[in-house]
Amino acid sequence: MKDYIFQLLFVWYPYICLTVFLLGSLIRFDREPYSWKASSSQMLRKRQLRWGSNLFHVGILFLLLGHAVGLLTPTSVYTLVMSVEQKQLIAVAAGGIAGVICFAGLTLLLHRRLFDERIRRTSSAMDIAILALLWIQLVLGLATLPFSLAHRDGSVMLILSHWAQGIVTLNPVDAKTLQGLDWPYLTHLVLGMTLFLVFPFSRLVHIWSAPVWYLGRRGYQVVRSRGPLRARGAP
Amino acid sequence: MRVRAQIAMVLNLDKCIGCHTCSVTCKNVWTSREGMEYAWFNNVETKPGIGYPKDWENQTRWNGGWVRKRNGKIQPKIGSKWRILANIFANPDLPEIDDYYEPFTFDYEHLQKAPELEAFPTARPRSLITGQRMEKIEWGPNWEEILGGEFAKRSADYNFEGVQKEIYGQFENTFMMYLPRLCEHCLNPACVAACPSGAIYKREEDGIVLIDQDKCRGWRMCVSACPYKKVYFNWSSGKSEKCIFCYPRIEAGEPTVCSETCVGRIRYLGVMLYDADRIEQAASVDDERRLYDAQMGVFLDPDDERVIAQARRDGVPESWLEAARRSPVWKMAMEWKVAFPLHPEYRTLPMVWYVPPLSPIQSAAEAGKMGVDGAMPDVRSLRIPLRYLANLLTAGDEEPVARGLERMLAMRAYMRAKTVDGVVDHAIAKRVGLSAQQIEAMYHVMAIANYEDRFVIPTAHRETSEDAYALRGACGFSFGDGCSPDGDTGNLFAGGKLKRKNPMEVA
Amino acid sequence: MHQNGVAIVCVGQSGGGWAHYVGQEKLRPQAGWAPLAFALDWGRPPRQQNSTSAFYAHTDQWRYETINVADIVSPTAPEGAWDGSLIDYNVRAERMGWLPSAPQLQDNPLGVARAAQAAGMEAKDYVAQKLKSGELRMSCEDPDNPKNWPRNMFVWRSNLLGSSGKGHEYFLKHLLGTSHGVMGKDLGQEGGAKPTEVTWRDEAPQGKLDLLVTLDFRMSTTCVYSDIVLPTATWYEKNDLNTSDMHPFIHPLTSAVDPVWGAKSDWDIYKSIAKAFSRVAPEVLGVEKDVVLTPIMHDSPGEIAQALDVREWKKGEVEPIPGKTMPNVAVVERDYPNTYQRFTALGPLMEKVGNGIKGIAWQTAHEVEHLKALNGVVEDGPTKGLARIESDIDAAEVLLMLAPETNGEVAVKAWGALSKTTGRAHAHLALPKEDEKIRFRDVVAQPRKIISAPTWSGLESEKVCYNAGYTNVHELIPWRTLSGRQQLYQDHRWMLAFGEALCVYRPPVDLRTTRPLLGAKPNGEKEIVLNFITPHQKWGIHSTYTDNLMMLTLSRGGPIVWLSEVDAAKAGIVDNDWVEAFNVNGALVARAVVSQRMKEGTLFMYHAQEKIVNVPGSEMTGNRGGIHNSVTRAVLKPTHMIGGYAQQAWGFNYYGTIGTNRDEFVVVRKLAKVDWLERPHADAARGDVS
Repeated sequence: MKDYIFQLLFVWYPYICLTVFLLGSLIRFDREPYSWKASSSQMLRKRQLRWGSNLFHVGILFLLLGHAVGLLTPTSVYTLVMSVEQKQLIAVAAGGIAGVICFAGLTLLLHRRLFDERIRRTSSAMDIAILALLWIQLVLGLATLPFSLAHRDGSVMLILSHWAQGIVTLNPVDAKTLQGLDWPYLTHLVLGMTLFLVFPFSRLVHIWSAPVWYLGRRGYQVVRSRGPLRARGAP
Repeated sequence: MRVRAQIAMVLNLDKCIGCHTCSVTCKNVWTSREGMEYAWFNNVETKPGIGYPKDWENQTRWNGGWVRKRNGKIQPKIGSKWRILANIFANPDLPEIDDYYEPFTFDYEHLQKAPELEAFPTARPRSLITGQRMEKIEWGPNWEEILGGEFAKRSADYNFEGVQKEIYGQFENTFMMYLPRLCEHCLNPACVAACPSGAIYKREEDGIVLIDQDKCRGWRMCVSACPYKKVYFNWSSGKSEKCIFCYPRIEAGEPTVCSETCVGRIRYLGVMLYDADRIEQAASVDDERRLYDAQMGVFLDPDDERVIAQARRDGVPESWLEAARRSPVWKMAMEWKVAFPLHPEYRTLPMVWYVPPLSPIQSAAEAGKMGVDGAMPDVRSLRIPLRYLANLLTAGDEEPVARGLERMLAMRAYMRAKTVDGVVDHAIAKRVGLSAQQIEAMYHVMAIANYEDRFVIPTAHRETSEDAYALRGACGFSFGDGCSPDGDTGNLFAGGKLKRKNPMEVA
Repeated sequence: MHQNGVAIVCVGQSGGGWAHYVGQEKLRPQAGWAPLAFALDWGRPPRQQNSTSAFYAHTDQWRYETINVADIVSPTAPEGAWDGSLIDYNVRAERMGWLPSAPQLQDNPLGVARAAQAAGMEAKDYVAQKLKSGELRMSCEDPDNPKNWPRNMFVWRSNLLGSSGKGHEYFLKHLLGTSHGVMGKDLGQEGGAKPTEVTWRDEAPQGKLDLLVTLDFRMSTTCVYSDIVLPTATWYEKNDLNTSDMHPFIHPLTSAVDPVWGAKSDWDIYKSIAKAFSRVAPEVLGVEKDVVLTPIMHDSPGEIAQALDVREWKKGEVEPIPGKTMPNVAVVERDYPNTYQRFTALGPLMEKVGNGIKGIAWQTAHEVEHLKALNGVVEDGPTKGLARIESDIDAAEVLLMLAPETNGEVAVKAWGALSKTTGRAHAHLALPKEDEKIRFRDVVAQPRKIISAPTWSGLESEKVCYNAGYTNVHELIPWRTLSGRQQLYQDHRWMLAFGEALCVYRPPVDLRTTRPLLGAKPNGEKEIVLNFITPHQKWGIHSTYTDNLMMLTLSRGGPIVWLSEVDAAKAGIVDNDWVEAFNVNGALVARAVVSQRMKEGTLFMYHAQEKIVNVPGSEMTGNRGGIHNSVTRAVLKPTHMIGGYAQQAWGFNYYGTIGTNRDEFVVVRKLAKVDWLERPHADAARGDVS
């Protein structure tokens, strides 16, 4: 039974989540572009948002980058420059700091969303849910730290990274390998995948639109032309 | 030279009666829905006052518009592109809704449904944001109407810079004017520049600046970038919206709703040709007092043969060139120079200009001085301080505003001499650097202000860029996808048809 | 102001004269409208009443009067007794036939008619005799007698209780009998001098009205106080006509959509009431004779009845002669069970008696023929063969057909009728448009300019501006005054008595309404006294639109009062503070707008902001804060009551008493506590606080 559950959760579920994540985003972007936005609530109440949002976003960006690099870099690659133990140390330290920063931001944001009347009453159920889920995910993530510190050999880190790499290479590892892990890791994984699942139905789609291309815009102005004849003059 | 055309606007503040019809009609048509109820694309402010949103003209506080760096280049005052992105998580320059006002409604139904209470029922206010009771209404979009509020509060008005303002708080020295304002549809819009997703754009064919509601991601940097605070954040949809210059009407050759409904006939719409290649240079001039002049240098003379030739090469339709030659905006801004840009120091090159209001002569001695001999009352002794108007319209440069006011006074004196005494007094005209003919033309446009003289708007020429023949039948049978049914352009699930040869193109 | 115009010789000159805003009240096609409105096609004369005097009496404001006539009598008044109360003058005016009355006689006029018939006398002789002997009395002498109370009131789109009624709190206390804010004591309690011509009853009646019905399309203050509200259609939901003094056109209202929910057009509402009434009337009423009293009318031959002197039959100074020294007495036949039939048909009097306006009369049989062809005729019943007035458009056509302003043929006739009186030819003013007959569908296609008619002294012309008095000056039509000329000096005895023979400065009157309450019920805030002025507002037309959300949003979201920075500083009031303004008449609560443009010593409350939106309770009265008229009272001027004196004689919408409340003062102070009074009725024992 346990095997079956782990199979479901850590082999099937990731693919369901990824598929919904990708297809859902694509369909939403194509069919409902008006709904594709960051849903900022800053204008209604800036208090708690300046600190909350900055802390949260800076933290989460580091975390996402760290997770991506940390989980998906093949072992053979990073061991060229560091040992597994060293990598875990970096992961725990950097991730820990980023996690605390992110958590602080999230707490401010969640508090604001739940207890500021203006914000709460103009929030959708998903607005609140997604924030709550993220907050719980951070709690779970931070909860893994003491466990990580308990075994500095990086063995758990390896299991997790192999699992993750197996998913993205469409060559999933046997779910049994995860059975020995402590509860924070497992719940963090499941909730993490769930975040991918609900992603297209939430405000998180704004992540796809992180406007890095803004830096590449030539000059400042954007002029749209009706058609080929008018565009002849455009640069 | 790259010639483009824009429908520009002039508001004659000398005739604005502050009736707010423009605000009401615009709101009825465009912004009476959740998320935008607090947003007035067009609003009318009583000056002196801090306006809507509060203190919007204070760019030290709000950081709107452009700033000229030491290397001579301009960038949005809210920061470089890097800085804008860095601030994207929490825009430090974003106004809060209380800077506009918390929109409200009242419990009207209580008047019909109230049970027997201890007193006559009254409908109390309720927030349109939270749906909860509002104990007291503290601000509105027009709070300072007719000088409501203590002078100490209203005199924070930025336009008092350099004016000894204390005396203007006294009953005897009270002055007032209305300032109706809307999006400037600038040549160098800061909102476009600050939008990280590129959703805001200026239309090449008529200069209207729009926010693509599909592409806007709600980064809300545009709201702070605009120094006029005419980009509004829709708190319900999470996207920014702004005045669209009634483009569906403009395209049909009709005036904007605010213009057409203006009771006082103070608004004018006309084509202005401009050189797109000179925008950056004009906006970057060193002294901000030279911006007014620089912007006039960007405008192109519609009677100049070379301009006409280049305009044709650049695809400006003939009817637009014709309209540009009859443009009331050109006349007031460039020929008679009675209209001026609003706060040119923001460096956005605004395209809604204003004719300043005359006001009564303050000093009794001056009052009798309007005469046939051409003597002109001193415009510095008008009730509204000249410097105040200059701060509003020419970055503080009093001379052009004084000249404009003198021309308006001359117009009055000239027409009075003609109508009452039957005398055509060329000396009056000459004194202000105009011909009698020009004065009479000014009178016809500014005083009589017939509909067809106020609105000289050519229609759009979609046929130059789209297959208008196919569109004509398809418009209406579409699903929010412009004028064509989905089938033509296709979507994720059903691809578009292969391009067929247009029978008209087959030789 | 007219005197200034006369003095600089520009009255009646194109581009000159005195422009006086009238607004929608300018009923240009008055000769077409009046027969419909007053059923002149079925019965003449109609009963009309000047509302100010009526409400002054029936809301018992007279019981609290603080002005002594001695305050306003001129030191150069002619010999005679100029004592008494203001209402005494009104009563005398009614008795002498100067002002109308409602009700008129203390006995049922149907019964008076019967009694006269039984006595074998003409009604007018009967009434004159009985009035002299005292067997019949006029109602105005005893307004607090239950026999003389108004019982049913129908308010048609007016906002009497939320806008126009001066002395709002008195309306609530005495006319309606509901909770109110009157804080003053009446003359009986104060020990002040009581009226001499009016019966004083120690116990003032409260709640004279049995039924208050209002037609409106929004829940105005008057609607909230009404027993029944009949929702009516708005301007885009009905067919109607409109004119104004701001332009020379007559233009239509047309029904873009049907009235929503259960709302009906005014026309349909009245028609329905007529129908229902006709159904139940036979229980108590049949064809009846009604004795109707009317004042000596301006523009009638009788208007010079008292040109030489003022003599009162009640005092034995002269015999009571109807139409000469007392009101006219007429008998009008009413067919109550056929009210509906009469409502929906053009009555025979138009053909029999004719039409007219302002003393000019003409035959109108030709127009009636046209209407029969246009509207069709009634097919059977008591009104068979008469022109139909079924729909609102039918009614509009009647109006358009009968009025000289909209029917060129009638205009020529009307000018011709005037020519007979003046001996000069005037028809040339309308001949160019003789063939023009404006139809309703015409104005739907395009508003039409009205035709010059003798109703108005200005002309619709391509050559001259519309200007009052133009035809008097240029057509040499005598001015409708005693002398036939413009008069700067008014020599009526009462004008002389009150110092208004010439237009001179009259100082403000001390209404004595603030001192009794100054410091009477302190709340810890400083009190100041300001002159209370109620100008027209920007955010509504009187009270219409004031509750509109957009107007409230562009204003301050609820009732406001304006005061100067100087006065605000004195009272510790900051912009947007809740303040209370009160005097013995009542109290109002609003937020303060502090402004440098306000002159020190004044409080503006633009009218009318009502109390249905965002008004908390009053600390002074314990009730909901009032309206702008909660601190006012009607001030009747005796000089407005004059009659039988040509230009100073009563006429519909022409002359009579008005509110005259510019001299009002109020105590102003910050509200210490804001109570919204939202508790259920049973918990509080609130009522009047006197």
